[in-house]
Amino acid sequence: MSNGFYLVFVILFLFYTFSSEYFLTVLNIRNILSDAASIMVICTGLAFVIMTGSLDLSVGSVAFLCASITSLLIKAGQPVVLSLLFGMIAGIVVGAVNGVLVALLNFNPLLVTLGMMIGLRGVTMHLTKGWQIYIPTEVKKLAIDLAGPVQRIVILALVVIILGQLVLKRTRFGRYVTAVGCSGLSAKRIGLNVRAIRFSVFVVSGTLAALGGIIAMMNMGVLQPTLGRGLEFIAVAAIVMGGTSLFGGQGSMVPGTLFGVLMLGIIENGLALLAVSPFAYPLVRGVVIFVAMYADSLKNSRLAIAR
Amino acid sequence: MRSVTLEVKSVYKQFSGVEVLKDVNLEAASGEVLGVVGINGAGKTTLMNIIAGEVALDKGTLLIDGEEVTVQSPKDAEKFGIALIHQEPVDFAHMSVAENIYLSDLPMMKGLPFIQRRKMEKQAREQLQRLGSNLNPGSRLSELSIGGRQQVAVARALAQNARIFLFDEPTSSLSFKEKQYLFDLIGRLKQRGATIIYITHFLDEVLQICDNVCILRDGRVASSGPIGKYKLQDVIREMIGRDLASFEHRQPRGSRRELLRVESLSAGTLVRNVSFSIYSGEVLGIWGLMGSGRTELVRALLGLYPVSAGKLLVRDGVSMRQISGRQLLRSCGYVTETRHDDGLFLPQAVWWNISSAFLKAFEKQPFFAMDVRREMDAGKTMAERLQIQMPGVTYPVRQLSGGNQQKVVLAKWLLRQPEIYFMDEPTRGVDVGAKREIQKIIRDLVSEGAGILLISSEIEEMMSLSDRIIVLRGGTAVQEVPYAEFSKEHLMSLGVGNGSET
Repeated sequence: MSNGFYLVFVILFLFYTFSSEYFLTVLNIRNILSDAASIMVICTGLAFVIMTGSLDLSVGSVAFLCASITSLLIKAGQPVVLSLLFGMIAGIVVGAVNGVLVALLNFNPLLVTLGMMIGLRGVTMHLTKGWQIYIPTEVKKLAIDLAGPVQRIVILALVVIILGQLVLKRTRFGRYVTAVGCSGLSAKRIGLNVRAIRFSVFVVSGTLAALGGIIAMMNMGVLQPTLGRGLEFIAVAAIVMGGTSLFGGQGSMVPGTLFGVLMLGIIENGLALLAVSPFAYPLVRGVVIFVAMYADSLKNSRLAIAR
Repeated sequence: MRSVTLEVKSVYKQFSGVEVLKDVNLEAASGEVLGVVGINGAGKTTLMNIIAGEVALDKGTLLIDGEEVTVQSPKDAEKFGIALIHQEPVDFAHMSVAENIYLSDLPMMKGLPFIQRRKMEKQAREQLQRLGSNLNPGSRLSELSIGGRQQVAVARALAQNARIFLFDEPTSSLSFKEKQYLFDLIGRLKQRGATIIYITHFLDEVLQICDNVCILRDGRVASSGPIGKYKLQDVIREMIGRDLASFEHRQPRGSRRELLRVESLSAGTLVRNVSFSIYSGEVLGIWGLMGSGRTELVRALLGLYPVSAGKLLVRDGVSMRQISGRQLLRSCGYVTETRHDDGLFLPQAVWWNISSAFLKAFEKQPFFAMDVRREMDAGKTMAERLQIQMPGVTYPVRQLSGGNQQKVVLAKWLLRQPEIYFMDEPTRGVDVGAKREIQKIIRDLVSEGAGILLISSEIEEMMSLSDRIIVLRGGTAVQEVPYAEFSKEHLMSLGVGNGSET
């Protein structure tokens, strides 16, 4: 993780603390975390795909699809657990389809997941007819009730990302993922089943995108038809800012991706507190990402010259 | 009159506390080829990088035509007429030969932002012809062999008016014919008064084309002077500080067991109906010229190349059991020809690479967690056993020299403790000292009972390491040659094919 990134993080934090009296309050911090929970989970799954040197642009739409399925089922009176289950299964299935197309049939991952992103959104809109879908308050409370200092979904998201880190860095599977991202050819020569590994990360990504979408929906208590729109790019930005290389084989979830997600969440939250026009959000996001990456590249180029 | 163009005086360079060059002096004159040799770590590459401006020197001076110069970047080097021709030339694969040659100086139409393509190609053709090359200036660089890309690199240097050429290990990936072209090209450069510095591992080349030689050892010049002063043994001795002994063929311990049997293997056009066996305690050499199907044979055996016919059997207790190529791959050691492409995970640490082929052994139950400490210990032990020189096991493999990288590859397979090894050019791109060590490791492995299939293009290495050799030609196994009948002439003629089979 680069120092440039941490520096920008700290500066931003201090800036907001001094600019708004509401920033450093318990309520606000809780909001930041609960809003970030969904994208944290999605990023964990996406990071696995990126670690193998591939890409999954469909995560936003998968989140939307699965959140819609779950909310539709709940609204129709189905038991919560069942609704959640079906939502997750949809995510696993989409992940598997992506995996087959990219890893087994060697389609270009960018094209496949892009197509999936567009197609799934259309399918889901058809399912929801573009309506907002409200879920009962008891269900929403399941998610946002406090478990200790923060909401349950926040705990869940933290557990997921920490688990993701442990699996990536400390299990054989995680090693295989890194190896494939680092050098697919070398991995093949050791006898690794490269196709199986590439397939499985897509399944992980789909599953966690589903979970992330459901978390986002329950956090708000309503399924918005815009859920997940543009999410994939924020997710990729958070992951890359956190030090993961898009080429694969390098990076971490904790602290890397975690801080990337938090950084983006804080930016957004601070802007809202300062009553900045919502049209400026993407601009500010872009500028901060740019500054953090620039600081990072300065550090890298200094290293290169020193060698 | 001998005119000295380049002088290096008392150059000193250290990297993070490791002294790489300590008081190096050399001089190169126009119209002459100066060979620079030394084992890895002796400092040759660093010296070349300093002259070419890719690395800055700590102390010392560089003089060109008697005047002191500072070369702090490749652009400076270009200004002084210094050109470094890399081992694997860096270039623009999707652009044409002419574009590559003239990229920093494209001939533009007056006042317009368009390139004069025809003029550029004509000039390129002239440059190439003067080098004795018949490359087509319009061809895409990716279509050329490494030899062709070298020619383009030299042509580009000439187009930038280079007078001093540094060749860094140019022949490692060249065929015999391409080597001849290269030597011819160097001869032409000599005639035009260029100053040439030639780094290589292949000592016979030094004796063949160099006028003077400079032998580096441990960051200093161990010896230098006109080539006539040296015999091969002398050069080797100066490089490593002692004489080389040759290998004895010891009898392996235990009885000889058949480990692998290959029956009628065919794959594509390069492997035709090949049958042989690998026994414990021996090195089976597979010899053949380039294109005879050696690498393809190994790939086919391991399921990395589509097989059209044939059976593989391995030892299973007392009898032989049929297995697939993939299963064989999982249980054997496979040292590839191209460690950079498929033998290493370059950005990862040394220990990470060493344990990568045998991760199951380091899994700590109950939660599928990896025992990183044990992995690092195992990595350290292996590194000591193979005498890998590195700053530490936690450093990325790409920082190691070629010879040490190859040792990491070996360490990776040794950890698996397989019975059978497949080694494809295990000492390619490796300096003399490490080469020797790797060869010793190979002999040690067979004396412990392993069976090794060895491919090597260096005939002396083949003969010194193998217990028997199978010669391949055009994909078929032409003949098996027992140790007693090893001779260069016999093997060469079998490889080329002129009816001397028995």
